[in-house]
Amino acid sequence: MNWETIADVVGISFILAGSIFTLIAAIGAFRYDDLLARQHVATKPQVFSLIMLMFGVSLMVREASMTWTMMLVIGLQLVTSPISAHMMARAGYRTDRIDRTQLVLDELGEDIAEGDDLN
Amino acid sequence: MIYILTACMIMLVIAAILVTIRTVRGPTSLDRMVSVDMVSSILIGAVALLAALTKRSDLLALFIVLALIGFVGSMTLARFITPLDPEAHRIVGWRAERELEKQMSGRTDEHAPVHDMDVYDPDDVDFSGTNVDSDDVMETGPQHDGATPAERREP
Repeated sequence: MNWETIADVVGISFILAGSIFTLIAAIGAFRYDDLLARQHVATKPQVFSLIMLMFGVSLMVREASMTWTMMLVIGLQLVTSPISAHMMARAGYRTDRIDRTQLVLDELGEDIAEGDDLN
Repeated sequence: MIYILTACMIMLVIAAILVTIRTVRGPTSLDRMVSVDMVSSILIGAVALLAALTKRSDLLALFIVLALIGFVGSMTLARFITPLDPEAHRIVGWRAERELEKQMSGRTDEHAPVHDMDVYDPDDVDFSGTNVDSDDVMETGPQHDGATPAERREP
């Protein structure tokens, strides 16, 4: 048993974990019927499963250029995913595509009400 | 090895089908955009599987492009989406809104229009920088013969 076999096995188990998480996220996105719940289930495991897949591929291919590209993709996803999720949720809130009565904690609503008082 | 990768690929295909069904169903465009985002990251996963299987290094640019495209799409939609209620286009605080209501409440159709575009009003403030009284309307810029702003207000 040499190092290459170990790297292959660890990489393929990472890939398997990432694929299972992607499937779970897709089932969640399919079943939930609220925008925020769907976003929650779409963004979190998506980032995690992407990181898993990228690490797995890096371990299986074992080339410097591939590994660094995978790190770049992970970095891009980690930077862009919260921004786009935040902007989506905020746009949904401000354009009344979210049922505000269902929210347990509504900090944006409190802030908007406070801003209206200052107006 | 190849069996596990095939199983992973089948899982990703099922995930993509489920998310595509959600894209078709999603009640609003934001829901659809979330689903399209998911499809793009599932696509990144599928390309990663392909790279793991074939060890090709010409797929590297594809990863970067796919990682960037989804972000741009959802950002654009979130920025330019309009409210469901067309009356709520402007975001007005309740105090300003109440003031506006008070101003507009006494008005009927018989009143003069608030702003009539066709009537030329010499007192109207012209922000364009062009003097409409001058002969050459194409000539832009301040044309007040070197007068100071105070002199121009009270000649």
